Amino acid sequence: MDKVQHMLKNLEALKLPRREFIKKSLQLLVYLFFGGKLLAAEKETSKKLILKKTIQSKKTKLIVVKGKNIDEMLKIALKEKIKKLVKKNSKIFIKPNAAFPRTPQQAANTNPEIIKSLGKILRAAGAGEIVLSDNPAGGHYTITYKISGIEDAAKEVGIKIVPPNNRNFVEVKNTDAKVVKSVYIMKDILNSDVFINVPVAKVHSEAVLTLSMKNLIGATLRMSELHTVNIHQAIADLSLYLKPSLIIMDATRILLTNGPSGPGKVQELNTIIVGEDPVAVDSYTATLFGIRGEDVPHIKIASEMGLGEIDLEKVEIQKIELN
Amino acid sequence: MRRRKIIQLLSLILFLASIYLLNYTNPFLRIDPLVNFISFAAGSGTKFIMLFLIFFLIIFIFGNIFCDYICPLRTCFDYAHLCLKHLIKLQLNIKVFKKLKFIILILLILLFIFHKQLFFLFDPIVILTRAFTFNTLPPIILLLVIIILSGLSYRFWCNYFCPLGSLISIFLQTRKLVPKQKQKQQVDFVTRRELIKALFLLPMQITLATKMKIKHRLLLRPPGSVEEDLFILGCLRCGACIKICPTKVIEPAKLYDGIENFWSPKLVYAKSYCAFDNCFLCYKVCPTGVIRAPHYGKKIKIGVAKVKRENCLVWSKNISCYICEEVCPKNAVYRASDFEPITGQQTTGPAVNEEICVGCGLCENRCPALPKAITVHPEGEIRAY
Repeated sequence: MDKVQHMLKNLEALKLPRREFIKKSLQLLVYLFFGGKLLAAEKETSKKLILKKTIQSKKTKLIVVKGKNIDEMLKIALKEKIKKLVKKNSKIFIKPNAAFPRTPQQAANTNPEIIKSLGKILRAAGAGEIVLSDNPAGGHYTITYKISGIEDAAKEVGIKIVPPNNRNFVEVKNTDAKVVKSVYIMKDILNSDVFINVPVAKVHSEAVLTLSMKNLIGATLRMSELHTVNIHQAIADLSLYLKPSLIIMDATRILLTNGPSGPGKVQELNTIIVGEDPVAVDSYTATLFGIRGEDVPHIKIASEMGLGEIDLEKVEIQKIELN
Repeated sequence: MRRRKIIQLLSLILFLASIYLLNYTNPFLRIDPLVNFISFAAGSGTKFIMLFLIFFLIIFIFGNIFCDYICPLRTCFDYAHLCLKHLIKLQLNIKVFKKLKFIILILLILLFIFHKQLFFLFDPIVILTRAFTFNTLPPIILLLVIIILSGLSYRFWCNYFCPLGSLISIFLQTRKLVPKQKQKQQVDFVTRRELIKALFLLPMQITLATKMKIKHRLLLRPPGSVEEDLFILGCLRCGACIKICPTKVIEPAKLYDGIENFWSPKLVYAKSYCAFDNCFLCYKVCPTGVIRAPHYGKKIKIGVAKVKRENCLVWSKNISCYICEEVCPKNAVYRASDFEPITGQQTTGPAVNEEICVGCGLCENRCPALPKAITVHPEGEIRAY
């Protein structure tokens, strides 16, 4: 009976889409009728749910790596986390920022080198299917993926690219959200075991900075509707729907002016920030631009909503410098 | 006979493959003499008239190999006839019909002289291409009707309509001039009386041509298009640009866009946008060269975006949207401030730098306001040639 209650709790906490909900509840019914026969399968899923929860409840920790060789930087930063996250044949979803038809040097999109080495690391850890997708704001996906270099990088390490077509999205509702009551989210994210957010750090004309939480807009459909409401609140609300298991902030080079589309002034920082708490990651990255996390409204709102830790003094920051 | 059938089938397969695989001009449209003639007339260069002449030289030496071996539409007809001939046998022995294709050719040429290009409705290669490239139903229906009719009555289209076939058969009359040339089949040619009849239609043609000069709506054309008059004259409505466009922004114009513009390509920003200098694929596939390679020295514009302040969320409702500024690939949208004439309050909102704007339509596509607050108009366009 305890188990059933626990599973019901999990179902409520996850805010599953209807189809998933029906699937799970059918599984539950079958479990109730046939006893322990399906126990093995159920154990696995409940374990997964617990895993996701424990990661979020842990004390916030950031790893900041500085260096020139991206392969090495990522390997060191992800050493422990990948072991915990990636099981054999687990499905992985990568959300880069490939929103604008700009070259990698122009710093408007995620560095393709990071995608490449991330793919290698995931493959080495025994990951199953690795899927990558972004719904770009500044152009058609065929063009932005190609020019940003992400398509080539993904193909090189065998990452599957899913086009952001309308049919690849499902509607998800959440009553806790203040302005974004329902949103269309990529199916592949909901179906994946591990969701990795790989944003790029750059300035944004409306949201002040484009960081990990802002990057999640690219995982939704009809993003321009978010601009009709308070965009800062909308960005914070999105973090209720999409909870990445891992955030890899690309600050190898940051765009300082003319964001988010560029081309503008680019500064090379050679930094990668890895963490699980979106607010802490964004708050730390904001300091790279010379402002505090509290100065960016959507980070502040998100911390007030209890989505993460904004105060960097309460965050354990592990700095690693490589030559 | 067997050899001919194999070549015909190979030709049909090559045709379908070239529609789906190539990202340059379909070779069948390139050899089509009507297409080449129209391209030349629309000022796309002497290359096309050379191809036109080479085609007839080959026809003169080897006979009508185009219709017999190459034409993929005739292959379709032959197979349709093979399937349908047992069902019904349609006998069309109407007297008018025998001369119909010559009359059509003469009418089309006369219309062309008066700058009304209607070859696009009759060219067999274009009809077949269009059925695969357009995203609408009418061209497919047109093709199916022709194929079924030709299946019922043997080579119905070739015998009674095809202007390309009639052009070739008229030309083949010149073979009679060469001695010792055995004529395999007698082709019905226009008698003098028929020609005079057709010439009497000339005044009608002129009045028709002048009547049809309705002030047509200016449409957003693909980047690199030539001047509108030449564009309408040269565009075959083959839909190659519609098919190749990666962002699927090009659509065939409907009848309400003007009769002259019917089925010609136009850009619809409600669904997508033009990738502009990140793409430029449409000129590569255009068979007549009315969409040309934009040379980078000269600035070209599809149109210019304009902000309607009464619809704009920023100007009218003070919601901080600015999505147009965010997405503009040329950074042509900036924040302007203005004094309201009545209240004297300062208001700010997006405005377009018309010098920089190329009219790619991304801002219109992404604008969340209903109706759209920023729209692209063809008035400010700069054509390439």
